[in-house]
Amino acid sequence: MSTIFDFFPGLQATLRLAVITVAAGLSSTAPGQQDDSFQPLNEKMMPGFAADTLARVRQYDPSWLQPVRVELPTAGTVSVYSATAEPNAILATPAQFSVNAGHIYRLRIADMPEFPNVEVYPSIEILDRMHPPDGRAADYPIPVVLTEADIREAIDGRMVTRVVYLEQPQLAAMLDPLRREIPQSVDPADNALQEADRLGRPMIIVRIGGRTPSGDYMPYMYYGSGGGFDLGGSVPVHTGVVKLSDKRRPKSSVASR
Amino acid sequence: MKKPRALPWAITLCAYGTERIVNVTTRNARMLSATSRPVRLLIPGLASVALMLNTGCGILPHAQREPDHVFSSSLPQKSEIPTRHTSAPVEAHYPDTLTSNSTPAPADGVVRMNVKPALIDGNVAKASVFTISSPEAVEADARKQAFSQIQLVSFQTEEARPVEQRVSPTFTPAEPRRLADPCEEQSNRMETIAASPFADIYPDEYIFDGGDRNAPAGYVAGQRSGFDSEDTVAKYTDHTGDPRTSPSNRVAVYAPRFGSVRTVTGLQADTKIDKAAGARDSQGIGNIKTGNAAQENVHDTILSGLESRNRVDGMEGATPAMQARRTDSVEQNRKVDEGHEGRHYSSHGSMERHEGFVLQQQIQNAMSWTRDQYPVLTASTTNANQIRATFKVQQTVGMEDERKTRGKIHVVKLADHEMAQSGDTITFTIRIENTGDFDVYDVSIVDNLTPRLEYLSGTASIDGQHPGEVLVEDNGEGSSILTFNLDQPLKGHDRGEITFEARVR
Repeated sequence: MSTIFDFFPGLQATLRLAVITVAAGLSSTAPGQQDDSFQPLNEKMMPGFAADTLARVRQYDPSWLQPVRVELPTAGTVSVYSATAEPNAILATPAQFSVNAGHIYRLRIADMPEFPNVEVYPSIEILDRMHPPDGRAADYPIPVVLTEADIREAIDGRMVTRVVYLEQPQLAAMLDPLRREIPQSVDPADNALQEADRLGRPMIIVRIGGRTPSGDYMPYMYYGSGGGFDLGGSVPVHTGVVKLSDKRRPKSSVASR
Repeated sequence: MKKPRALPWAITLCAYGTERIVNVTTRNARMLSATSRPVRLLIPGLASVALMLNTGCGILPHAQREPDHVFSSSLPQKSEIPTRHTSAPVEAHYPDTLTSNSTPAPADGVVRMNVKPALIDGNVAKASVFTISSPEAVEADARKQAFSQIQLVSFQTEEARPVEQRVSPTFTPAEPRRLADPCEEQSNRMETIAASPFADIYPDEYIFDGGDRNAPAGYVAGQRSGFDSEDTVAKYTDHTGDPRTSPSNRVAVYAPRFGSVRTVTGLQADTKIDKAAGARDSQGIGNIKTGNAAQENVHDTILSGLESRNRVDGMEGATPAMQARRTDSVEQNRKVDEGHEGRHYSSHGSMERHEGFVLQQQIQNAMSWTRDQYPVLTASTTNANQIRATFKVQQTVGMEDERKTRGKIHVVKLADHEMAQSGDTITFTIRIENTGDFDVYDVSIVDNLTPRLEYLSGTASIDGQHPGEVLVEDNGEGSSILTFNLDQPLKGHDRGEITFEARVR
């Protein structure tokens, strides 16, 4: 599948440089002081582009692995991919694992009782990281909550995009903004990343579509950009789809994959 | 002291004599020569400088003036001392303790203080002995200890001490007040208690409570102002009656909360999201159109008025609206406005003519009022010797208030959790302490909770030693404002404690 960048090799580098320049200017604002200024990035860009751009600007520490927790409506399994067709781990919901900021990962959602024999492959693009007290990172993961409506619309062929943001405490609402009954939605023509930036600090872009991997040829970075991975304290499950050879394998060896 | 005063007079006499000689010369010559003109310009200048030096118009150094207070370091000459000793300098020295070598140690229970004879304004202050007796030796020791802090002042005239022993007076100034360092205030205000040093760098990951962010908290005309959410400020009145506020430190609890913005794209999703987003509601703000319509109505009113003007000018045939919008009509409106202004000016002029005497009277009143408030009278009263003498007698008797520092409340806020999850309960403790010597009054602690904290009703309490009341009101941001009012003043170096609980949302 060829793209416009295949015909103009220098176009992608030029575009990236321009976005980085604008994003660098915006990054001078201290965290938590976002305003309604122009947001050069949006969720409609090529998956992984926004995270990679921010990583180049902010120079994240690659040794830091940000805990993420994926929650399904009721039950199910979550497989995590990082650049390869073989998953790093298969976890039961709520699945918690640690990944690198500035990278994109592919998930496989399956075994949901509401949707039997259905599997979706959402992607998570890690835009930013947290700074918890030492040794308490696992207690404060970034939540990725997938609702039943999200899964249903993805099965129907639509693209559901969620931008998870860290709420600005001084602008916080009384109700939990993540699990409210009426989700915060924006028009498809609007920039959801900018809206999340207005409400807080964008952390993760979640894209859920109906596409399933077929064959050996998949788009570039479909399985992720190859960021680090760690199970943390989570215990993987065996579903029979992909068998982990050794459950007692040390965490460091898992993270190196 | 004599040299600076003889020199100006000599310059004056020389200048006067020179001027007389030059004048005589020029009168004889009946003309001013080119060489004598600068001399004539120089002579008045020298005379002026000499007069200024003689009269002391601020050119002489301050040390060469007459002593204007009793502790001046300059002693006047003996010949200048008037017979009534009205400006006689006095000497002040403060012994460290009451019992000196020249004074025998008093017996137990008796404290004796000797004051040397003083001569102030011609009145001889006799030697006085202040004796305090007490039947109990314990109390006497306590009083002796108390009087050891008293500064003793003795007065002595020039005649009472030989000239050769006359030395410069020693003066021990009072302990200067420690002024508040604005940098320290700022650092206290921004002090944060957090589990991680990143709390100030990434504040969006923490819940803050305490401090004084954004506009400074205070009271303007009795109304609360600048109390933003998260602020915790102590409001009180010091012993001078000045209202003061002291912010607390900040407490940071690591409790990040997340949200998500959702958008759906697809062939069928466009229609659905358009309905939910409500963007059309925002664009369809019909008020703008309504406002335009109102402006058109205003123009219609003007047009109707223009038509009436046209009839006066005989332009009856030009009734269509297009002609009514001509500039000629607008000029007629301007004429009407000018007519109003003209009447305004006329009335102003008539007031000046007929009520001029009223203005004169008001001016006179203002001038007399100014004289009454002239500050010279206040300065004269301050320079009265009676005030000075009274002050020193008070020091001798020992009525000095040992309290030195102004009362100031320091507020320290603590939380029993450094990290929390949604639903956890945090117990906040507010410790107040009056670090000054004087009492503070009307003490109230105001805590404006952040929207992430929900106050648990009935959990607020003040320690038993400081009774008071707790007021809970909505802060308009989904949380509460807690106001703790103490019923009694907070004494110097006294402290209190306030606690309440809040749930993390």
